[in-house]
Amino acid sequence: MQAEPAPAGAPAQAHAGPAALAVDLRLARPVALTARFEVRGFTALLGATGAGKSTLLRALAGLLAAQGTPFSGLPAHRRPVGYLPQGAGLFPHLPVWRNVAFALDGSRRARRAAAVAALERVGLADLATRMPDALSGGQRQLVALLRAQARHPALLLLDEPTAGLDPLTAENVAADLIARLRAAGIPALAATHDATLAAMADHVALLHGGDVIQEGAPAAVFASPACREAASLLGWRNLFTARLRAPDLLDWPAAGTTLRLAGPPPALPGAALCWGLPAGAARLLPPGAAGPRENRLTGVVSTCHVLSDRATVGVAIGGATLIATLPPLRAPAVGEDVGVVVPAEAIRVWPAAPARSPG
Amino acid sequence: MAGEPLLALGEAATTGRPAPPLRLAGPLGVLALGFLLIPYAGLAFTTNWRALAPSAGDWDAVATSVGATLAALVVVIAGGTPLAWWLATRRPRLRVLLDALLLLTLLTPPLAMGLMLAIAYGPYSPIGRMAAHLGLELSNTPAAFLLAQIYASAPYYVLAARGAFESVPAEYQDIARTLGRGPWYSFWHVSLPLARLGLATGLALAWVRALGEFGVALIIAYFPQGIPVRLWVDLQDSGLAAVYPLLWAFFLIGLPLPLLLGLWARGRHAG
Repeated sequence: MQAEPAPAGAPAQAHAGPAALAVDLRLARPVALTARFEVRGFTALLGATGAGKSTLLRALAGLLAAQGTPFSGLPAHRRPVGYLPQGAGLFPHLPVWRNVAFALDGSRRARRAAAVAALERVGLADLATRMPDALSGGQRQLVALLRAQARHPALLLLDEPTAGLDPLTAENVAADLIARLRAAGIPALAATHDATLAAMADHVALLHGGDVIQEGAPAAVFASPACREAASLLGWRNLFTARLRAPDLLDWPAAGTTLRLAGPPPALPGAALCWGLPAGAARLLPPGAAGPRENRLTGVVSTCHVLSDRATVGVAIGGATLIATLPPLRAPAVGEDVGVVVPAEAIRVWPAAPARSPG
Repeated sequence: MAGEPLLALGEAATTGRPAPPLRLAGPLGVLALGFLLIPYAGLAFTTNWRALAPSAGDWDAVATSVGATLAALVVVIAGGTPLAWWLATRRPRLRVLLDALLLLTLLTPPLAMGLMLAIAYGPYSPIGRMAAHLGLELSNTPAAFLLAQIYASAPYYVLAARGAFESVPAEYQDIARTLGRGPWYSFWHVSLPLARLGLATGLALAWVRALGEFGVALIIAYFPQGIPVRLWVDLQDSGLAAVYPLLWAFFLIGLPLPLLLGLWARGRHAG
């Protein structure tokens, strides 16, 4: 239960999957960055807006000066990378086939034949003479991918591949993209702030404060964020400050209550900590219902959003609000008194200070 | 005319009619346009079409103007395009100063520019003496006429071209580089085509400015006489009736290039 902070620049836990490409880059401008991580198959670089994800991609493409590997010292046009900026970046003045053929040499006829053949393989041959502004977001992404593939890149860089798409389309486009890249065997690094895309990847690296703070297989990373910032990037909404009263007792001052912890003590008593709980781990009970008594709190339902597959409920406990997700049919009404069980084994605890100082 | 956007803007929800102040916009616009077209109507209605025979001197002026303007445009494109590109893509700290200097050349009154060219390139200036030493007189010669046209037209082209290059997102250059293309290839295949509308505008402006330049030419290149100076001479020597043939020639030569450039740029825009 207790997650240890990630050691500085620790290599990923080895996990089954495609061969790794090691990235070790240092940048001073425009954002100070130290990025040490691996690209394995489709890798998501998850970071908040402004964390330097795009900067890192541009440095890897050779468009910004940086020290380190891979491709060190090569100018942008010699690097074996494909770069898909946000919105795919198709040349607006060239029809689709000339976009696909942009990196190809040879006669116009041969380039056109090669481009149309590539478009045929993905079922887009009909669009060959269309202009990019007539394409859907997913089609643009695919055409940009074909354009980049013409150079047989050793690494594909995707900047926010699902930005600007509605959530359902985004998920479909991402799934399609990942399947195509896996089939083609091209390693890819996708900068994103979308935890859903990260969950679909082969490997995830979290960027915060100018450093990669955690990396690994999505399942492992989502289950055990290395620090509060990692949890926040991964979409954890229940993150609170706390203080350790005893080896297994956590004071939660905002809620005016104390929680029992499972497992070995996370720190010395008196330590300022941060604790988190996956939204799906909290259990809601009617006020007088039978159930576990440990870590059983009472609160008032403050918000309740019911979707087709789940309900997201906010429960005010003292001055704090705990978010719980549950099946939609069991959603309580706003204003209702509820009991909340916080399972001790689901609680994650981290030091209050970030695991690594920014910059 | 474009009445539709105005109508849509001023449409009252209940009646579907434009709001009263906007209902006046159409008639006022027609009046204003009519006012601007009065000189053209005057020319069209007073021309004696049967006696519209240019003199021999008129033909010389046409040849001089067209030849020199074409030559000036070649120089302006060759020198102005790199300058515009440099101003648009670099972010020098001196940018404000560079912009001010460029605007200075644009905003200088033509007569003042002519006088300053006489000072800088005239027979008593160091440059003029050096050029004369090499056998090139820079006063009242074809070279002087060319010089006048370049100074008159270059600022217009450079400003328009800089704006055109600035409007091309730098991202496309980056993508071209990641696709294995060097700067020269991406300039020709990406920046230039994406900037062509603005470049065509700049070229059209430069053509009209160079062809119509009077003030600068009057001072340093009274000879060889181009169309504007020749028109002035015709007017002085023979009166208003003598200017008709060359005036019409002026229009016929001046308008086609801008129109063709505009059509070309817009036509290519559709792919």
